[in-house]
Amino acid sequence: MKKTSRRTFGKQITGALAALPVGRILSAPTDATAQTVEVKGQWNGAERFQAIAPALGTVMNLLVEEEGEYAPVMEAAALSAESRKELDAAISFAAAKSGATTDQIITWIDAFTSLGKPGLMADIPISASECAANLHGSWELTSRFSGGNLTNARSEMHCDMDPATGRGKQLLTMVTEMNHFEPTEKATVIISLCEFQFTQNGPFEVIGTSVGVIYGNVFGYENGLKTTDSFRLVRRGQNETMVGYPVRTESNGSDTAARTLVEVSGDPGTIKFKMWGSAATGDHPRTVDTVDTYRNTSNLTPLIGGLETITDYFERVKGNFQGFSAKAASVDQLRKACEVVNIPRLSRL
Amino acid sequence: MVTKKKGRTGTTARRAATADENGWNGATRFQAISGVFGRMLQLQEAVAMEYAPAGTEIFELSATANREMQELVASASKSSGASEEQILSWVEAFNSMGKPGLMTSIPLTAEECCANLNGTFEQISRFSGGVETATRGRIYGDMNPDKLTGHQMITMWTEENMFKATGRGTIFFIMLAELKFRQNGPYEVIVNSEATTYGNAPGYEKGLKTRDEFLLVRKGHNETMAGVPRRSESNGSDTAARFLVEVGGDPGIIKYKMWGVPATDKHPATLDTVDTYQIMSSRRPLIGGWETLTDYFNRVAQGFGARGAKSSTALFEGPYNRQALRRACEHVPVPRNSRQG
Repeated sequence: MKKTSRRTFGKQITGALAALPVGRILSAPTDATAQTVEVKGQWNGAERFQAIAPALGTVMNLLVEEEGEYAPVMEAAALSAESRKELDAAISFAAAKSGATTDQIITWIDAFTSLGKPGLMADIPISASECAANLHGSWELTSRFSGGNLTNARSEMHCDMDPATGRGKQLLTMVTEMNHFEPTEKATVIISLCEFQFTQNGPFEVIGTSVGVIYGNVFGYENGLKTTDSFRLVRRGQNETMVGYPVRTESNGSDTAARTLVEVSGDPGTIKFKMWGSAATGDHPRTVDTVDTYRNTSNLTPLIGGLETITDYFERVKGNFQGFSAKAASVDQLRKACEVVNIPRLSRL
Repeated sequence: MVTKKKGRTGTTARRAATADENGWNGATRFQAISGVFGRMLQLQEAVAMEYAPAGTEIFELSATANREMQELVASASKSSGASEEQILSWVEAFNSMGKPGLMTSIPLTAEECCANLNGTFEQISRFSGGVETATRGRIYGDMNPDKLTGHQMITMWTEENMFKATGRGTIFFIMLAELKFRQNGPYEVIVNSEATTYGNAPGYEKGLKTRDEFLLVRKGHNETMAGVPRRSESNGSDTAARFLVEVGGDPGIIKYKMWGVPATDKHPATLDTVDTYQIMSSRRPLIGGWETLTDYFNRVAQGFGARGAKSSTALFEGPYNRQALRRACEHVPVPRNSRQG
């Protein structure tokens, strides 16, 4: 079985900071030239942009090699020695020219590719405890867009978090007409239970890890798929946001993983996930870009149906998942469930 | 009046380049631009280095740089099969939003964009240079989605505005803008704003008129700005020394992210600033529950600009110092089983 994400450049770039504390890297470039330059203390967005500009061309050229992958669950790959050297030289040059450290250049490039110019805003302190607390409660899917079109989908996320320890459990359910591939006559049903752990990594970064099991009526998920993810959270505004790629372990050979998670964030009361589709390969069709947006519906500890803990519910569904998915909503039923029911202004809302 | 050359990717010049979204996804768009993106940004780098981004002239690259830019676009277009307009559009979107900017465009309408601004929004945070700043502010939008027009009033009382705070005083602004929205193909809306801003900062005491144009696109549930707005003037004030890099927001939220700019010989560097507003009411706004935006604004503006006014602070008689502002920003916990929903 293949292991470890092959989002190598993501790892090589994103890992640079996280690497030392979490041991997930990767060689941060070093260059004697950079060390001789006086390191500048205060930066703003425009200055960070100026600092990384000389390296962007090289980095983008190398990044494209990594973006051609299909399902992002393969063996770890390293850049060729030549590419690595080119990358290191570009980063060192940018550091020497700007007065930033090579680690800063790497971080800023990573943030820029993840978030664009807003990624170069000043870091804001973030805490693992708050990240855990911010997930607590129940969330309802307000929209899914697939390839730019609104897709019939219903979903909920339920999080039972313990901010004191930075731990918690998350249950996610989804029934959707379209899940990265062109729709079929049958709706896709997915349920997962994950254990989260948030770990502080300096004042400006939190590392999240999740270990979970996903069941679904799609290939590779019928009997449960175990996943392990690791991702980094930073803060460039009111709320935390992911930078870089999450590192996922495996996909059971399923190409339902044929997407790249490029954004996990959300303003107060919202969580959204943006996933690029993948390019087609000789064996696989292309997949479509997908955006899921969830809205917070309650901050109380979640109980499914108002009386069942998320673990109990998951265990009950998983105990007879085949039977459960056989009775899952048809596409017609799903469409009806997605209809908007207008409620007058002078109502209970 | 200060007029600076500036480079902004034109909004009207780029006519709905995203019209043909079929056959592309984020990964393939990225492949299409990755070979040229870095160099294109290098060529445009000077744009981000301007001090007060307020100019009326259109920034133009040198002939050599312009030629290189065109060659890069043509080369990316040829190797990817995308049109040159698509390449330009994707580079701009990546520049503004990073990888999420390369998501498939979602249709948006001028009417919805206009309607989404209606109501009252309260500022829930301001971060300056990564540090939370004592600030209160509101945005009021009185919109007419049928006509694609509306009025927007913004008030702000803050301890820090782009520059490091000094002294005991605080800064306040009030702005009234007239907004117009227009459809530009199925995936773009162009917004024009004509505003007057009063404040107790240099350049704003007697009212500063500004004109902005910006582009909205949709890569998720809500619209977001792509590229950089064009602003007409800044009265020579340093307070405009920031670079608006994000205007967006999930449902119920509007946020503005502004880069600081580098120091020059005459000016200090400014701070990165993020403002986040949360909707309080979707009804037509009335200040204090009974006064229209324009009436309120005109009444307040008289205190700033009218002849005979004592000073720019004539409006406020109370001790609007830092201590008063900090008290107004204190968090007062409200029990769960209370009047809150």
